[in-house]
Amino acid sequence: MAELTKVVGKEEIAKALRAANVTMGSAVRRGLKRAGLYLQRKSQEIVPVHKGNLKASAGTRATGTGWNTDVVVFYTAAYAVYVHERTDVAHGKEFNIKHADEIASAHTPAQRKVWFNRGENQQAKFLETPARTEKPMLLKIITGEAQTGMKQVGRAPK
Amino acid sequence: MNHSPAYIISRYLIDQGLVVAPSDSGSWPIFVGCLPDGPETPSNAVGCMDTAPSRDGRIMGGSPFFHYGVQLLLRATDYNTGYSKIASLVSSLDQADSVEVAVDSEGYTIENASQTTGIIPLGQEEGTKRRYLFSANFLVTIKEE
Repeated sequence: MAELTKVVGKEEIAKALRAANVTMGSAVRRGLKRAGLYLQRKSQEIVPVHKGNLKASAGTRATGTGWNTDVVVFYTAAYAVYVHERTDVAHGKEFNIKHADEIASAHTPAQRKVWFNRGENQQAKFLETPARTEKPMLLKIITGEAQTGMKQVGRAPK
Repeated sequence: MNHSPAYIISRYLIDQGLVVAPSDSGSWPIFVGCLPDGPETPSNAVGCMDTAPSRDGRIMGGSPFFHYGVQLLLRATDYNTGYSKIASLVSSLDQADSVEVAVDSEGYTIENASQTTGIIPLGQEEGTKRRYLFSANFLVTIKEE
């Protein structure tokens, strides 16, 4: 004789899974955005500064939603690529050593605008370098937010 | 490693016949760590630079595992000549697959060179007479023999 079994609660399970998916997607998006901002901050510490235009042109933008989020860290100054890729140009400590005489003999305000001691860590590859050296921290930020999302899913009301 | 990844990559490109050592006569000398300029240096030249490596974990024995960053920076008097030259260098590195390179009596194996950017035209070099600059970036896996 056939036995009929009725399973109840399928809709609730599906609804909870959909909600969990949204919560986790938001958490991952938050993590990616935070990681992008962290990378921007690390890049700002070493970006070459002359008048400040390049440094001020930095930004972090998140596009898409949830799991499909893309985060871009960028510099919009027209010459940003040039400064980033010219690894043979002296920046930072190298610049200070190379142009020590000019810096020492700069007396007028106009001269001092050009010839002044640069921050020691300023360098080309100011975005690529922290993207590689800070990779463990970037991953930690993203996984940290994902774990927070998982906890939120676990605490979701029944 | 006793040699920098940029130096090893430059030796590989010399072995391929695409560039020449600065001490040799011939077109397209390759310099390591710089792209010098002056009356003795031709305008058409290549610089091979070390850039930041990517540390990707470690093996069970404890040694960290690095993918080394290398940049090719090329200078040319003609835009198309420069572009096609750097394209040929990029193509050669793309095809590098467990290639053995001898550097000053030491042996290295270039397991792989992974391009991280396309060819980037940097425009005209500042303060010079219309010389064009191009760059391309790689992460390379090199094993010491």
